[in-house]
Amino acid sequence: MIFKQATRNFSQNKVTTAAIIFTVALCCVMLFLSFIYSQIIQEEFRQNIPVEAENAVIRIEYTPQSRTRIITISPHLDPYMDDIEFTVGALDIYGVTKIRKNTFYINLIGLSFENLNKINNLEYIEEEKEKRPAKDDIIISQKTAEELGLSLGNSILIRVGQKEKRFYVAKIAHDHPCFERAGVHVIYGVESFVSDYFPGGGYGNFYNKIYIKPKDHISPQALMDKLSRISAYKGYDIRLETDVRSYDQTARDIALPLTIASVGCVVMVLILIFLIVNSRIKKQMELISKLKSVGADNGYIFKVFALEGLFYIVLGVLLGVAANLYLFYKILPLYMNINLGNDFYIKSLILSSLSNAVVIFLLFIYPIWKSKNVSVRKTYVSSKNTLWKGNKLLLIFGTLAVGASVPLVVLQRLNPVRGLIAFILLFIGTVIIIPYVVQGVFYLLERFSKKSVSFIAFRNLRQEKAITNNLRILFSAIIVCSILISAASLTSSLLFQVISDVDCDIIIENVKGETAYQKNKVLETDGVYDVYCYYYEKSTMSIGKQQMDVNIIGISPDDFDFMQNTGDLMSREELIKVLNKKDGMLLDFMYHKVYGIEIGDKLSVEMNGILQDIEVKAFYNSYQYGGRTLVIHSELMNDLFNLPLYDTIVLKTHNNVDETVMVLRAELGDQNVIVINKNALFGVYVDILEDTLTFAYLFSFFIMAVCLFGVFTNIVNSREERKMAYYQLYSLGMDKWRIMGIELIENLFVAVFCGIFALLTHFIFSLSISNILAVSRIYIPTPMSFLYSLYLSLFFGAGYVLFALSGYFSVKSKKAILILKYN
Amino acid sequence: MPLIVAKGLVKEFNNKKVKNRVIKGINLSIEQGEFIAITGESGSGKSTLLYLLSGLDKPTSGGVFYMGKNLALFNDREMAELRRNEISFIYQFYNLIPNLTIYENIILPKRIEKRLSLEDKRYLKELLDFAKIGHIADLRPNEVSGGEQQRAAFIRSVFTRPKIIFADEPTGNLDSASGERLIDLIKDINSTYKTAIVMVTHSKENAKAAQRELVLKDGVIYDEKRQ
Repeated sequence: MIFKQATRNFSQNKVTTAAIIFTVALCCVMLFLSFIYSQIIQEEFRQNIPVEAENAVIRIEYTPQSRTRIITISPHLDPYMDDIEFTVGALDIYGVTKIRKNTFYINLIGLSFENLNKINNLEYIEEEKEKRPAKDDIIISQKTAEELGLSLGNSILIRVGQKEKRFYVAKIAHDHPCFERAGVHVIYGVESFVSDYFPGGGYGNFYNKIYIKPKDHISPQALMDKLSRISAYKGYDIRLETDVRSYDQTARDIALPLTIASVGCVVMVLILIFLIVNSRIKKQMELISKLKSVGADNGYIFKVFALEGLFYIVLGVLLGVAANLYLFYKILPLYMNINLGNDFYIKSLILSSLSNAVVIFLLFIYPIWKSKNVSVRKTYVSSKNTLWKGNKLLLIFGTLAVGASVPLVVLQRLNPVRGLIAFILLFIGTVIIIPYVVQGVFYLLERFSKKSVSFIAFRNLRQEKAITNNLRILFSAIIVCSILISAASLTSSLLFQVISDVDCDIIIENVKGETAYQKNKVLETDGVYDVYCYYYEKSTMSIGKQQMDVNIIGISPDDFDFMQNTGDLMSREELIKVLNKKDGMLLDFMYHKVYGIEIGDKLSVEMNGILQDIEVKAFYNSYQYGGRTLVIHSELMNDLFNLPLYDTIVLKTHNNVDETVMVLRAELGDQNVIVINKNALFGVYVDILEDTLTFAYLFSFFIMAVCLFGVFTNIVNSREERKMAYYQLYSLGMDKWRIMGIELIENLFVAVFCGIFALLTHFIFSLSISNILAVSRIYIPTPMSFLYSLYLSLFFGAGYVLFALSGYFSVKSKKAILILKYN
Repeated sequence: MPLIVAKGLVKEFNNKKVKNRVIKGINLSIEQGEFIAITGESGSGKSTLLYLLSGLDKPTSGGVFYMGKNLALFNDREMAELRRNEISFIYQFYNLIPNLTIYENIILPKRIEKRLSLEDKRYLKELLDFAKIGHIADLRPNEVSGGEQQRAAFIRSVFTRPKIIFADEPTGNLDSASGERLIDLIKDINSTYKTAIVMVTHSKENAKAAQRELVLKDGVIYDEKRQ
């Protein structure tokens, strides 16, 4: 009988049943997406990390602060050979070639072919097996062969600086990440031939890069520590070959706003499910009382409703899982490069589905559990009553929650936990108190109302359960959608930031700038403008036991325009004045908001193996490099850390960018200097970012659709209750225009109040999200846009009023009195 | 031993600081197999007294004793058991469960108890014939007339062989012919199975079917007539 009753309850109202199942399924999808979103973005970035040596673990690489331009493996690494499985040296230089009047940039890497196969698992399409190895052999990728029109045995003339040499294609390999380098074609040549370009070269064994694989039992970090003590390698960058940390951080930064928004939406949908279940249980009270009157105990009633709830959850979760699988295998791969074999996704799917099922089941059984103390008689009374009754304790709780949320977020320092607590308190508190405020306002208005239409509308506004529910749902929808749209917009700014960290046409890297010599050379080039020089290094700094990641920018005041500054803390002129004093650093305001660093604090900064205490002199606000930057006068940096004044020059040009690159390469004439068209460098990024952004918008519109669906489902549900009121008003002789007037006033005020509450709470929500974002060490002062909140309030308000009013048309043609009698 | 004894029964409803005393100290005893009608004007407290006697509501003071046990001391599970096996209700608006058939509605209390025997099924057939509703057993409540629904509700209340049936205006929603038929049924059950009946009614005709009529006025028993 329990099963029979549960199934019949389940199938009684098909619209509501479908709505609940659909909502549960959507909750599953959103939870799954919020679990995997960050991982998808990270994977997208990881797949595009240039890997030069997939089998190596450590790389030693030339930098502008290197003491020498070329190094050798022996004898420096000889003492460590017990810890090392293999070492591979390479000469990595840049050149150009002209084929059929087209210029192509070449990254020529010299190493023995045996070593190339050791560090990378290459597969060859074509190779001349009969041919004896020659020193002018090169290996190219399939892509380079196609783009340069080369095949086996063809020759190619490569110019590096002032020297030219002819090479012959000996092997064509399948495309591999070791051939991927932005803006250039990577060609592997024999080391002794390539080393001819260096003074004292020509015999090989001279390198500017060494790839190392430690033995299995040796910790890479421990070996790197040992290698960093080798004086011959001083200034060389010693790092992990596939160091994905910085990419992961960028990916996490980009994924964070939408992840937070989607979790917020999951909470919103859960509240929605709770409200639907709760309103249904109120309707079911009559059934509960009937069951109780024939002797059903609480256990029996609980089982009937819990089983019914289980049907919804099982079907909803199954539908959700099916949708997730479809989304994962069919939709997402259209936009992102997802590793479908990654266990993480399956685990996320299982975990999100299970946690969803458990939470929703609890939401289902809570109202049933609450009904256990309802007496049969009280149940009868309440089941006939559509009036909302406030609860003083709840009002006090709601008011306290709203009140407590304010001091939690107005503090100077950001704290994600405080932000989260404030967000939850403010959201729940406002949802609780909205009907009380509305009740209070309309209690007063009702007294001054002289017309029956406004009197009935005001009375309904302050006491109808359906209106209370609609107020709460509409407000939640406006807030969640406002967060979501702001999050999508924020994602777009963060993505844009990744590209625009450096605003230029051409980047010149690896400059050993001890004086302004190179800068002047660049400035002399025709058509060049906005030339900035800076030194960039990713490092750490600390104060007390607190250690922080930081992007250090060494810059002269003349070049300070390179730094983006939102200018809301200190003007650019004031910042330059402080920088000119050369007695401290300028620090991104994030470090103040998140870590509590104050002006006057001394931070220990590590660069070039030297630790120095530098005083914070001023704060600025910039999103460059993820908002984690420190600016120091280049001369002060040179004094303190013995580093060149700059290692990078960026510039813009009025002329053709590629032609300017050619001219600059000839002017600078150093094999280690990299001159790259910025669009070519970021081309690979742009693709990822565009995909990510498309997905972000798709995701946000999807979640907004859920919110809209939630609001309208609730209106449909409440319409059933409203119908009876229409009939009664008809029977009392009211004409259709008056009834429409009542409806219009009621719904208009619901929309207006929700909008007012959304706008009033906007600033606190925004501040709490600002705090939550600090979890990823990002400081965004106004993550939520007031304009979006305003537009959404108007959009949802208008939509709500129109949709709610349309309910009138569905009943107006019926013979109201007859229906009333029948009911 | 009397089936139900009410001692000093008082019921107050508090509404916005105004106390409304609906039942003002009623003492009453109901014997096994007795048929009592409670009459009185609207607002005299008839239905409230019925709710108190049946344990649906709790008195403000005083007590209701079922077979010597104070109903106030019964927990929810014991009250549910009592409603399932010893006492039954009939309401003015039938209160059949809409998504169950007439047959399923009638056997519901036994199903909850998980003991529907062959003997019960034979007894049910007898009752359905007795009430002349056998032909509608497989229909849902909204597919049959009000009189048939009320007879079905009555059969449901009788089917568990309760010691007492509380009826709240059982004919209030029926036409006179259906009402008379129901009263005849109630009388037959009372005499055949010695089931006590407590019936709230406005109708003087219906009240005549009872052995004892309690007339309520302003929350007290104003008059008591034995027929």
